[in-house]
Amino acid sequence: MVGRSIASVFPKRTVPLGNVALHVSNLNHPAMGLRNISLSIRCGEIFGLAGLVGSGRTELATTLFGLTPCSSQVFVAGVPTRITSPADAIRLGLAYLPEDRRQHGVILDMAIASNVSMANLDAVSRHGLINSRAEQQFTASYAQSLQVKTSSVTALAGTLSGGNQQKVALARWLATNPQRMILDEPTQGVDVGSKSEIHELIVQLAERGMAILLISSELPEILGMSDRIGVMRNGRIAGILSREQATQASILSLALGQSSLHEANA
Amino acid sequence: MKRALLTRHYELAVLVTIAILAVVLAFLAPGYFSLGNLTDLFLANMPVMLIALGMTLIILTGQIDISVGSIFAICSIVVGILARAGVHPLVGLLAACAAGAACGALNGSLVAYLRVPSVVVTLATMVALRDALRWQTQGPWIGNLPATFPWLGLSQRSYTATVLALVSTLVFVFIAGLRYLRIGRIVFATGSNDAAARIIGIPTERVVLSTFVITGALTGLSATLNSVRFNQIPSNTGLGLELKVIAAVAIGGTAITGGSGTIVGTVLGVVLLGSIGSALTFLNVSTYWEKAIQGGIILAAIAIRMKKNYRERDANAIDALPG
Repeated sequence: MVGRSIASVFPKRTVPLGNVALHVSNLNHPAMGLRNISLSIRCGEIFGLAGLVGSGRTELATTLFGLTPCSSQVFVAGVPTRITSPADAIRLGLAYLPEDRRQHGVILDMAIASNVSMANLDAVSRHGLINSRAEQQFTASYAQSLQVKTSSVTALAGTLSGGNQQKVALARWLATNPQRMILDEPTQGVDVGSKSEIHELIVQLAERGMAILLISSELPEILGMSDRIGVMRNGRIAGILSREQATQASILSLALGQSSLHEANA
Repeated sequence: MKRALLTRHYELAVLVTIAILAVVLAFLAPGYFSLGNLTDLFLANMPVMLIALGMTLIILTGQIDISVGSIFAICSIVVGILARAGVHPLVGLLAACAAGAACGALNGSLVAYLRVPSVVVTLATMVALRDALRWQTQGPWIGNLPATFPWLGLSQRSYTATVLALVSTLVFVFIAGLRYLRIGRIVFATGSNDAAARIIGIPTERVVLSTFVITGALTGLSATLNSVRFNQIPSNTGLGLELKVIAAVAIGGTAITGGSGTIVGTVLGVVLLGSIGSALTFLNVSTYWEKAIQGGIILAAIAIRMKKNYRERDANAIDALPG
């Protein structure tokens, strides 16, 4: 990565923005330490969420996805809803790629095909009966478009490399045809090749009009991929920067709080 | 190489063990395979088989139920009391299933929604249910059962045939259900990775609760089918049943940590565990050895399984290295 400009590494392309896909205003969730969160993401937009570890980014993601439900309303495509479970969220066209792939993402001792069809069993079953041939074809198409490197979709997900496991986790969500995706550290612990493939995929999804909330601790990734960047600190959104405004320094100063940065400089 | 084969095709290993036992018996005690003895063996192990079907689901989700013996006793007493009151045996059967399902729902909701470890919950209900029963019946056995009660009013032969058909159907339903139905997939996902399953929108609490309810209902069914074989119902029936059931599931290769196992394995486990005891009698080995040998088989089975788990985990760990 050294010596290369960010633009050459990240395949970011400008996408015309559509309607507001996901909107919250004044979201409060004391139990998760979230206060006064307002943000809206439009179709085709990649909204980067930066901040220090523990600033509440993952908590915001799990709250939006209904894993840690709160009483605040979430506007999905302009319609006020209350998301109280992941099943609600999936029904509303949300997807959530969790941070810890091995703990929360892929199910390692299940076949790749079972992993991919998991969130959308309707597509491969009729009257509760799973059609395994349909499932394998279904998975193979996603595995191919995401370039999952495997000999067979019936192999166990645990036999894949980290990057390919992450692609399986992504394929599972793409199989639900989401319109809004929350990606929590999608390239953490992923090899360089898969990493740029995942970046390319995220851009393609945005081009298809998907609204994407991209959580990342890697500043180059946030800066290189996002249209706008929200910076979180202590469970609040400390500031939202446009792509033009954002620099590593401006993000860090918001993430750390102005005063502490001054102290550090002094 | 030999051991690799053993760990990879675990069910095959159990099957081979059963085959060896059968060959030994065929030479040394051909009387073992008389229709009468096989019928006895089947009926004696039928409760273990039925409950083990449900227990496999519970263990697949990573839980355990050690109260099935006490639930079995409660259901048996329910059947007996209703029969003595002159209620039709089929109504008694439904009532026993309902009682079992209710006990299962109690266990299951404590485990699933209050997140109390299932060992603790079911240890408590095992003791509580049995002692509640002792207080209720005050000890004596239930006798004076009506003439329609034994063998459900059928001849002994048609009763056995009916039960055999019923058990085979249920085994088939469970095998097919776990392999081909969405609900089966969901059980495996819950046991493999509860957190991941929840993120995908699977209501894991409801899955866990239903496995306990299903096991409870099966316990009620087996208690009814078992009670009609005798003209009295002992108030301490089903003592130690939970051990046989859990042992059979473990021998059948279901990982005690959840997420992996098969019904075929469980059936083989029940057959192996069930045939050992009376095989010893036929081979003129002192029955004092029965429990020791059963224990040895359980240890061997779990050791082989754990070895397999570790090997897979090591393989995963190597794959997970960056690059």
